[in-house]
Amino acid sequence: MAEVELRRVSKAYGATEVVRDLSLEIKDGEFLTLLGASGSGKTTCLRMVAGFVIPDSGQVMLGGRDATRLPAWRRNTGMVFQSYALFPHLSVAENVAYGLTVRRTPKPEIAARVAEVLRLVRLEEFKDRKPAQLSGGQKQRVALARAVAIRPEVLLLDEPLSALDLKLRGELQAEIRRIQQTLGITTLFVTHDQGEALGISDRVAVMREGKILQVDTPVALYQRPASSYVANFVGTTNFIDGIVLDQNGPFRIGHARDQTQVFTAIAGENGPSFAKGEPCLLCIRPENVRLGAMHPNRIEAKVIHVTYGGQHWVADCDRADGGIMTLNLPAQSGIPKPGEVVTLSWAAEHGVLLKIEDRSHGA
Amino acid sequence: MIGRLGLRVAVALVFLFMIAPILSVMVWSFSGGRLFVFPPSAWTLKWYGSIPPAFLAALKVSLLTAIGATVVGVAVGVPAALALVRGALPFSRALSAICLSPLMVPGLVIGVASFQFMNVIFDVFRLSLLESVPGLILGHAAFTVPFVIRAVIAGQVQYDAAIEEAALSLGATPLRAFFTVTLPMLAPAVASGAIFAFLMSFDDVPVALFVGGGSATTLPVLILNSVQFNFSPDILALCSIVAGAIVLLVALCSRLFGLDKFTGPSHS
Repeated sequence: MAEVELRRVSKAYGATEVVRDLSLEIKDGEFLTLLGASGSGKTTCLRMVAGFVIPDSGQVMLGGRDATRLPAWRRNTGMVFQSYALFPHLSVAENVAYGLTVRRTPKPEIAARVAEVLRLVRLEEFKDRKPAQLSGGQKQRVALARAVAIRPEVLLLDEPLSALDLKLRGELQAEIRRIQQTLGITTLFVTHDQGEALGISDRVAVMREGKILQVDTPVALYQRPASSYVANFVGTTNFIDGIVLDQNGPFRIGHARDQTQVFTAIAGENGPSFAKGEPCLLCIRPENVRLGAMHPNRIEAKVIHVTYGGQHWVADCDRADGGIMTLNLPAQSGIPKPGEVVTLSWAAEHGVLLKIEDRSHGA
Repeated sequence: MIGRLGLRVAVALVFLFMIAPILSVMVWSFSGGRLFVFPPSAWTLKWYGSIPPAFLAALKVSLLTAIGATVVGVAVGVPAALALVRGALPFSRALSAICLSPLMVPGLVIGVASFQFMNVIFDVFRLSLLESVPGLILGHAAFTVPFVIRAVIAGQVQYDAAIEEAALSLGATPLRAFFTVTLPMLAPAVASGAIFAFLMSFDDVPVALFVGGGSATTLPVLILNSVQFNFSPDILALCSIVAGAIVLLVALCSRLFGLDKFTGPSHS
């Protein structure tokens, strides 16, 4: 086990900068996820740690040692790929034993270690099968067993769940987390699925255009996103354009179009600071918006449609300012009809105030 | 129901049409009569005992040539195909077209070209390759190499580069990963290329006609001459043995390397 650090790494392919002056620390035993859309540079970062990509500048530190130019086969990292990448001509047990055989581990120890990790992924009875005889979920568990069998310093997971169907994805996600916790292994996980990232990680780093926008625990990331991009990429968010009227105590924010309409929001501990009169973006999660005027922050809206989401109803409403307000309603509650004009409200602590640094909240 | 039956009958007819000539050779090889009539008037095994030694000598030349040409085909074709697909070579499309071009050239042209080429080799190096097995191997390499290249290029289409990376991340050096992972995975493709290369070489007439001459006569050339000048049923016996041996060879390789997986629809 070891800590991993990327120090100001950059990588360009031709004129395209894939990773830009990026720094990241993964603590010993930590499960860190790189979350981002395709092309955000997350896989390139993972491949730098694996040794398949050498950064143009910056350093890759593994267990405190500079591994920037160390070839992949001398790094002691265990990697799991989206495509499983099992050796098709070898049995499950031989696949798992591969890394140990390469390391010239004594035969009895290989047998013991293979049995141990196959038990860990609950595939003991499949040890003599060929990969072609396994289901997708089983294949990925073999790949996981193969990666941890060598007792790597770091476990690298490159979208390991993306090729699986939804139900299996949830199961394997729990399995990966359980194994990671059992072994206490430092893990770097790459995904574009925010649900996966929130559910499995100790910390999540949201990436965009080769940079890390925010590194935080899943709870902090969801509740206190540091930018509109993060707010929109992780979960669903309602945005209201505003102007800061008063930044002492709880923020008072006037609506950008109609400053007589005033909202309150509470600044987070490490939230951004604002000057009086500065434009800002107010974000409210759909589950924090209530139907009715029970909270002090209110807005009028016309219901567009209401859809049933199992645990709750999801209502999309047109606001007077042209924006859309989405809210979740409890499944057993009464629901408004489309066309109905309703009052929506939320508590001050549920409003997150963000700088306007970019207006593209497209995920 | 009738449509299904009709389809089966059609398939059976096509199949019969394809193998009827070979079957008729096999049937006549057991014919005891003086005339080739169907069905034969009498049955005998005597032709199998009276294959002339010249044919056995030619068979030996053919086998040595085919084995040699296949070995050269694999030794040159596999690295070439790997380089063409993954070498990130400049002009790789043009290069691979050039490498495969002998497959588009008629055998007769390759025969004439081989003949000329070997004359040049003799003039420059004083090395006589004409009328020798090495000469035949060299001539046949002109098409065995592209055959293997084509099969191995096709074999890499369904190849996942991550598999090799997995081996590297597990601590295998690139050389070790190549021999323990890449090569075994390409085995069916290499085997299929090698079998076809072997058959093409074994079957070749034009190149052998120009290069083999009188002292390195291959079996097909000798059979051609015999059929023209003194046809005898012992040739049919030999042909039956060869056909049977080839069917066995292909069946064996199919079992060993799973050619069905390679040639049929992939199921991963």
